[in-house]
Amino acid sequence: MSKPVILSIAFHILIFVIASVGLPHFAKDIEPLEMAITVEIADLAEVNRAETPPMKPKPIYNNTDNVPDLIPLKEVDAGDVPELSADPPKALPKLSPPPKPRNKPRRKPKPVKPKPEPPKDEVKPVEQKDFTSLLRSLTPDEPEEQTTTAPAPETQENVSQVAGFAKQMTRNELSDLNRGVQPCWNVNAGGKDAHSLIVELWVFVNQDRTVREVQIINQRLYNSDSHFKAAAEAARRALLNQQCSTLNLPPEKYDRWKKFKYIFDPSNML
Amino acid sequence: MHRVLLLLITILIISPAAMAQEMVATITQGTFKPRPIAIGNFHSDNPELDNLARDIPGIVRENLEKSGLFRMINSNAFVQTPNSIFREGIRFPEWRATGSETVVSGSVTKDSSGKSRVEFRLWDVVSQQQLIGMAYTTTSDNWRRIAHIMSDEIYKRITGEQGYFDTRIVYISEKGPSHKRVKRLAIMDQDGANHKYLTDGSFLVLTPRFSPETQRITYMSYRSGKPRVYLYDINTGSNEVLGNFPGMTFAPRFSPDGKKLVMSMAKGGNSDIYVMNLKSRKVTRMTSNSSIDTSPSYSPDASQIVFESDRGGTQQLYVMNVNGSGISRITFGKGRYANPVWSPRGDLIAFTRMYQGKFYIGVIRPDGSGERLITNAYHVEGPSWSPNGRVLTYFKETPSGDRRSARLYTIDITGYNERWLRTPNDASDPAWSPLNP
Repeated sequence: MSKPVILSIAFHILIFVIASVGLPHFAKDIEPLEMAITVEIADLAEVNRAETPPMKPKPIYNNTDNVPDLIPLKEVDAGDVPELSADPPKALPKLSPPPKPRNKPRRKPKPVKPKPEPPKDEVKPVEQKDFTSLLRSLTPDEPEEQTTTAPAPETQENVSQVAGFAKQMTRNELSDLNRGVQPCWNVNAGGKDAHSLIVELWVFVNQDRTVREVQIINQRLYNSDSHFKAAAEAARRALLNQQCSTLNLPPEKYDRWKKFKYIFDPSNML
Repeated sequence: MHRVLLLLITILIISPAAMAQEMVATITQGTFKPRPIAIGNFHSDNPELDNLARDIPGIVRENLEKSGLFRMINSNAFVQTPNSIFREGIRFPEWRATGSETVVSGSVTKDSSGKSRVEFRLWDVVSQQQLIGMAYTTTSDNWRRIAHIMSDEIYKRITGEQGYFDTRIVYISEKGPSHKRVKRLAIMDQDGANHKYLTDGSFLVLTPRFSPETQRITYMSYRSGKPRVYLYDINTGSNEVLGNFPGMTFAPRFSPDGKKLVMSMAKGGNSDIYVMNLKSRKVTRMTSNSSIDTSPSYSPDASQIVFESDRGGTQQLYVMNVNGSGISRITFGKGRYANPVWSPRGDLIAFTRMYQGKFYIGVIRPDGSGERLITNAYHVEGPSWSPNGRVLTYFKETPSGDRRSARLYTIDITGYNERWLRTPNDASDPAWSPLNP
């Protein structure tokens, strides 16, 4: 056999080997995930939830003796913390009269405040209000009732922005996941630049859909920025909270969600 | 040919790896509610210290609850006593069942010198770890300050923001009918404790302003009918006159480093902004306009000044560079804007707004966007920021017969958690101190 023929055969064998090792992933993606949707009369909520087992919160740590070692206390000698006092100002020496101005300046009249109206309501005892609207804003023409603005529902646009995960998960499944975590994700609405504190976590999930471990990805920022640290811990706490630590995920897609990146982005809320 | 072959092989090898990328999900909606925290009494083996073991965490509970960011778990739901926590540590699974996210434990002891040693630890129940642990040694009389310092540490660790509990508020105490009102300068802790009067009421005092860096205030006084500005050091009690300022209606405000004062003065029938160097007492003019420019306030980085002016035809807010250049208007709403105060965080400016016979306290970003009115009343004004820029204090007045009733309030910048700050008499013109040194 001539050399070119041998090379050609070898090349074709190589291509065949590579294709057989690498290409099967493409085949999997072609699976028609949307087949269930063709049943148009089906109630999608029931179809999606039919396979969801009842949620059973499972303790993450079973060993009650596993009390972590105490971190050494930071000692502060507060003996030098002075007892605060504010003595009345000391008597002042008499001042010499100020020099007479040559021209008496005409004083601009103080801005006149509007004529007082009798108050419509008494001063009510203040009460702790529910944070039903994240940032309160009165409008001048309306009475003093808060304008409640419920957080915007997660839009189609937000859901469709996810990458990778969205290709294997349906829109409803993603919404279910977020809906289950939402009540536990407590955002510091009034914090400085709170809208920009986007936290990324690695989430490791057991096969029974309970969260096994949560890792904060940006450790450098976590260790250097107290605002980010607080936001990251709030996000981690949301996933480890007993109320939300069993995630709404389709059991049959375990291979896809056993480890995934979860991004907590409050910018739409604030 | 060989290069094309190599490129093709590379692409085919990489493609499977690329398809195995990690899954990503994004959540954009959460909630905003007070964080549940359990703070029980501290442990103490010494009966003499039982009061401290009860009172110190009591103040911490009050501080955190009043901030509006924390919800106290009812002590009836506690699963461990202070003694149990001290000896066995935190039993996390049981505490999780109470619904608390964090638990505070502590103890009080006496050292060999007779000083009290107070230690506390903050625990994350959900992730089962200690967040902070601190110990303080001081005299027993100083227990309130220890509680406030402790509150600040807990607040900062959980929210990421500096606390504001170890601070004080200076204000004008008012008593008597409107035509014979007695006004005195007064000071108290931010929770209303340790109240003291600083003047005797024999002369009119107005608008105290706190230095952001030092324990000094300026205030206006009309002793002998003449308006003078005084500089008063709270720690030393020294009180000096900065000068006579005819036509001045508000006391000056300090620069962020406490070395300068910015003020408005009327000269020649015109009111403009001036800066005084406290060391040299040199006064420099910042604005020169035929309008009324008044009520200036520095930005926390000392690069800009916000003030009110009617140069545009109505009373609005303007921002300029610290050298007087680059004046730009930031408010355009109906009504009149006044008393701007820049937040120590730098992200917001608080102001008073008057519209259709009502007064409002609002906040706005320095670029003029995001205006929000967070409270209103028959008469409300005089906002002052907590040192962490999270809370505002102000006063509200309501007419009552021939007199007015004036009270101090605090409110979170979200517009929630408005609280009455009780004082012995009527109160106005609050000024919030920086954190105590």
